[in-house]
Amino acid sequence: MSRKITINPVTRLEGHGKIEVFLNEKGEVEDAYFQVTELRGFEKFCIGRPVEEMPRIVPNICGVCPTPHNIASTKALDYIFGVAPTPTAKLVRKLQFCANYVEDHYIHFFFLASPDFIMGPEANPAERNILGVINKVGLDIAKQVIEVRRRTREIIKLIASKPAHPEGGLPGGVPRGIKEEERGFIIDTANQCVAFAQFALKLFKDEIYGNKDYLDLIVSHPYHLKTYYMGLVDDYNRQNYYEGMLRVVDPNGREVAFFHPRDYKDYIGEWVEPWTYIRLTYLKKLGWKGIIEGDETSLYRVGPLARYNVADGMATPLAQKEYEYMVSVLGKPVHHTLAYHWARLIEALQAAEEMQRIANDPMLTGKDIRNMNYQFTGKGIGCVEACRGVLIHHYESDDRGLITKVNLIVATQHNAAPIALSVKKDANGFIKDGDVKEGMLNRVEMAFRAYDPCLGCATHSLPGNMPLMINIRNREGKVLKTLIRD
Amino acid sequence: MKKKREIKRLVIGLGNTILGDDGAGIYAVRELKERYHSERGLSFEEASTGGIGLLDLIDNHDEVVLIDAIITGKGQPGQIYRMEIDELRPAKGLIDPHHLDIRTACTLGERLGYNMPKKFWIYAIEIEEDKVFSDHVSDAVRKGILNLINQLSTDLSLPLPHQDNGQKGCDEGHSSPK
Repeated sequence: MSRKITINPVTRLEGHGKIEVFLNEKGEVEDAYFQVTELRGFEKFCIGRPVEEMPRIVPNICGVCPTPHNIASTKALDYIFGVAPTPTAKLVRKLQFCANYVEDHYIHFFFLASPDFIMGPEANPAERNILGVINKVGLDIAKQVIEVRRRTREIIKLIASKPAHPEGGLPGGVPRGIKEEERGFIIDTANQCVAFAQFALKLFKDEIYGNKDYLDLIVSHPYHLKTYYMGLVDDYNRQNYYEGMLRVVDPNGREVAFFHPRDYKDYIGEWVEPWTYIRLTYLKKLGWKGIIEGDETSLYRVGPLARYNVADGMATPLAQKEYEYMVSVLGKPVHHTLAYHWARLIEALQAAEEMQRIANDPMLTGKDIRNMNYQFTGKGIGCVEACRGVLIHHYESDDRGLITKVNLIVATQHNAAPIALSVKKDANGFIKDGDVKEGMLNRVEMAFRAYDPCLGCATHSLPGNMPLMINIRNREGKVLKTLIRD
Repeated sequence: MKKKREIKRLVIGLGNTILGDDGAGIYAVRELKERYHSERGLSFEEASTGGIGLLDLIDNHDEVVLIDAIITGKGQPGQIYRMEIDELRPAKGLIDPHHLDIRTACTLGERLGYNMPKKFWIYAIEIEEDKVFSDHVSDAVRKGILNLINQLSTDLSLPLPHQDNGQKGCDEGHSSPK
């Protein structure tokens, strides 16, 4: 019955983070396509279920962004039931969301992004990982990251019962409030997160932006992509991750759209291409222009760099100072894809400061955690800024509250076409006359990682890793070379 | 005489129950928990992602068993594999930190001072499909889950169910995932 096997890491790779590069007859890069796993049948799975089950179901879609799915879904329920959360409930939800931001951004930066810079982009891939970073800069940083993660996940657990896949989510409120005796832990955690955020930014500026070679790399042509940008802003056009209006700026930084997320269908188009399961998004009013960059494009990006470009500033004082410094160094708008990392660390500081503010708010431990004055509407659109970018949940139900329609737009969907463009630009520098130079995979991975694309979807996979695979094909589609970590 | 410390054993079921057979590990651990919840020193957990998320669970356990679904494409659905942690190759070049491979996660845990298990096995159940949303498990995988439970019970020297009334193992009619 049982036998021993050795598993090849590509066993469950098919469809995960796959890139197809097509060459023209001269052996130069003509196109690059980014493909992810297709998970089928989600709408069918949901139709007929009670709509209030959605906040519990949707975190299972994604092993990487469960909290944003949970909160976006809960916000959609608010609209379906025609009810606003109580002030205390809103604070609790925002606390959960900020805790997720801090945890997620640091895991990304220290585990995924920092090895490229701290170990160097040309370092041996076997050492260019978190273990290499620990060897180089010391164990203490990793311990701090893990401790921040543990504490922020404790907060998520406190509110939503499970940090990986939150189970809470009620229209007009939260299933559980915060007790006064829990406030101390939350305040301590928030203070620790703010201190760590400042440390992380200093490390980033010293090690990366203080290094001329890295700065040159960051602002180099292959990592420059001129697109539109989209993100949520508050009433003062500052960054807001939980709520607000969607603002769009053009490649020159000028506002071209400002709308409530419920009107997303008027502004966001979804385009189907035969080479991908992802419905590629574009600015509907401009029309589909293809996968191109520059002033003529209708593509936009989301995520930390987009939020930096669309907002006039940050919502908290320390993050605002860091934002101003970044503006003084790189200006606005910034089209350097690797600058996603800097923007991400500033966001982690804003989220930590926001946690601090909420933790000290007397209303946090209020007993009024649910508004049940329902005015059923049958339609709800919830939108948040997931760590990776704008996330939209759109549900409709019949008059019994059973789901009749579901549409989700996730961050990696917005960024899919720009990722393909970034890969194309990178690959261009490494492929001449059909020959693929050494180092291409390293550089393509760096661009790819900056977006922090969410490929996890719902699958977790043995053996647990998820490498990138690049197929280089000639015009006829024949695979000339496959690049993959093995 | 000094009392010998009880060995702490943990069984983790990994998977996603809204992706049909991908939830095999979760269903297996639920069934095991139902049978052996009163067994001393043995605990059970469900998990949805691998990597560093597992570190928090396995910390301070002497022996850990991980149950997951797998697609090798070479076996029959429901086929069971048993592996040692050393048989998994560490990843090079991650693109998603949340999916840190298990071996790298264990190495990281040791470096960070986690009390890592001395024994770590993995049981995997071959599945065919993990990309279609469903809360049902195929017949072949359901049978595989039951076989795995029996094998694991034997490997961990746990009493097989219904031993006291003469029944061995569990038949196909036993309660199992839908």
